[in-house]
Amino acid sequence: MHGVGGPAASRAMGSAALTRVLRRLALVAAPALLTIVAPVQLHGACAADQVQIAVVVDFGTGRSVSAACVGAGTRDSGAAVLAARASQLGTAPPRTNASGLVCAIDGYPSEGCGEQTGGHYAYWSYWHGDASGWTYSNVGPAGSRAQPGTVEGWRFQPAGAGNPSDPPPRGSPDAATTCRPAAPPATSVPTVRPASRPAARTGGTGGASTTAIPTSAAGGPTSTDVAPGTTAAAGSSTETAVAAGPLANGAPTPVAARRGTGGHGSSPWGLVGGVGLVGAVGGAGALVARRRARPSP
Amino acid sequence: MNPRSLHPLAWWLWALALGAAALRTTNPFLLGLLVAVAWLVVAARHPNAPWARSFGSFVRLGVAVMVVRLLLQVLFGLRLPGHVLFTLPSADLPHWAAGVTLGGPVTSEALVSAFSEGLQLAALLACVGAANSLASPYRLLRSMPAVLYELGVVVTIALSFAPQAALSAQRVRDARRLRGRPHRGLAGLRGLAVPVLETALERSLQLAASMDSRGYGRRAAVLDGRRRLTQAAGLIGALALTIGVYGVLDEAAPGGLGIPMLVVGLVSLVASLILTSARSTRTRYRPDPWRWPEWGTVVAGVAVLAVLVVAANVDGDALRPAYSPLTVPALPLLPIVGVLIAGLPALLTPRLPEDRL
Repeated sequence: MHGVGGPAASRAMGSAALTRVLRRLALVAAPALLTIVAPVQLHGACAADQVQIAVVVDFGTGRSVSAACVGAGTRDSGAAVLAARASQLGTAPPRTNASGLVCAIDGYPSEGCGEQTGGHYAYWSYWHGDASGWTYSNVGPAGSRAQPGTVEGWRFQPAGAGNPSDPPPRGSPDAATTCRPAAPPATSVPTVRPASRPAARTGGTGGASTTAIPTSAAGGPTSTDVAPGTTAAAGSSTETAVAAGPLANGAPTPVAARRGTGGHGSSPWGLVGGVGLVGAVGGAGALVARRRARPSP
Repeated sequence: MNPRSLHPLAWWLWALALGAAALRTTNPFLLGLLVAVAWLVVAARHPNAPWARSFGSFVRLGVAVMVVRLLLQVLFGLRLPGHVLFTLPSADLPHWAAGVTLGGPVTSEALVSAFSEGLQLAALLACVGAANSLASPYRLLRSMPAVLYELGVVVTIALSFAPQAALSAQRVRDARRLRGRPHRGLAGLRGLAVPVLETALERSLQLAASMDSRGYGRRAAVLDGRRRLTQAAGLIGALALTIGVYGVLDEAAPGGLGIPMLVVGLVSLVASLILTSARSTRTRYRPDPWRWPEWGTVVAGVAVLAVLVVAANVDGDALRPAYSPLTVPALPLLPIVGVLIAGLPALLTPRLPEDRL
């Protein structure tokens, strides 16, 4: 399955790439047929209204919980909302593998992707929250459409089963808790609870701390002039507290620095070296082929 | 080193190990290097025979697979967030078909991911193509265990059916053209079918007669008990092998299932093969030797696989780079050296008899 919130993707990945491709072919062939018979709603490419999506990211037991109200387009996928959250908070963008499995949020964990030990997976579980509680998503974030009334929930499972029996995020599954409905400017002043500050977290309470991040200092969440990633100063005032969340023992790292060290060889020399190496060996092959094709004297 | 052609089984083992190594990584540099190394070895050691040109067609097939993979990604693929290149009109599928999006924004991250996954398949195809180019299918058939010989003959004949049919169709068409009969379109097809069918039937009768006269299917007399024993060993071996493969591939399987079952299955199957071989009275004329160049070739292939398996445990992110956020994949030193080792057979194997360099 591509991009399912559980680690099924990474499990199939290493062993049976062919199976995966066949499965993917089946996955894309089925909807192609379905479009003929099913009532399909077509959308234009550019009609993307702004909505506010509540995103709860739980870094796991003993770590912090971050809740943010993210401005997103109505057609955005869960993965796009997660990326918009990172750029709004100024944290490292989510890292996903080639099959769409989310490997890291805010740079946590720094390495690995759905790593398996024994029968358990260290992975980011994906949930949808509404008034009735959290439900484990049976669809990957890249395939799900974010809804304003539904909370996008993420919880890191250090040793998860990879199925709905894993614990849900500790934040509120109610969208209204994170994204307050439109209210007079006086009540929409950003609130940062002390629990989310690094000093409080180092105490190791493990309790859920909530950071409410409005997308604009003055307007309510329904204002349409707010674009994701261009949040007002109020959002940035809380970003350090949230960014520090996953790093239990350290100060928050600036995004630029993290990008530089995170990906190995992100300099153009890596590209030049890699292409050059392949070209050199391939050229040697062409040389040998030409020498052998020459009629012998 | 006297010029000779390498044992075909050595080339196949080398190529299959290379293909298994390709499945361990999606790093485009490593995959590209793998294809380049396979091309180098094929260029240096492919014999001058019609089947030796299959490497090129396999590479072309691989390129086609990559194009299809990219198209699928653009049309229905994952909508990885990132740098949007262009946006297709998107459609929401009904609830019960959720999980698949059609259209939507196409990002460079998604395209690069699809490219590297397509390249993995293309590299696998190139490895199989290399084996097809390097190893003579006829010699491979000859070096099969005696039990599988008859099966091998059947497979070879079946595989040669399509080219033979095309050849005889061409011949019939030429004959009709020379005689001024219609040879194109529906009218041409009508005159074509019967003669081609007739030729095929005639050829198969001739083939059956020639196989019969060469003693195909002749068996030595074997005691009933021993026959049952070999059959049971074969069945148990196949079963244990299946369970063992399941155990190895699925890490969540119970501990005792993996390697132990694999070993039991292999031993049982090999025993069954050896026991059954005693029934066959076929002898081998001038068997292909298995000397140190063969060992070296197999070791070079297995070394790549081993290096990539080790490297996946040491630094898995370099072998399976994530493209979201978009970065240039790493150039991991150890796997690169490992893949270069796979090119050694280009130098260390004996030259072919037809080459006079």
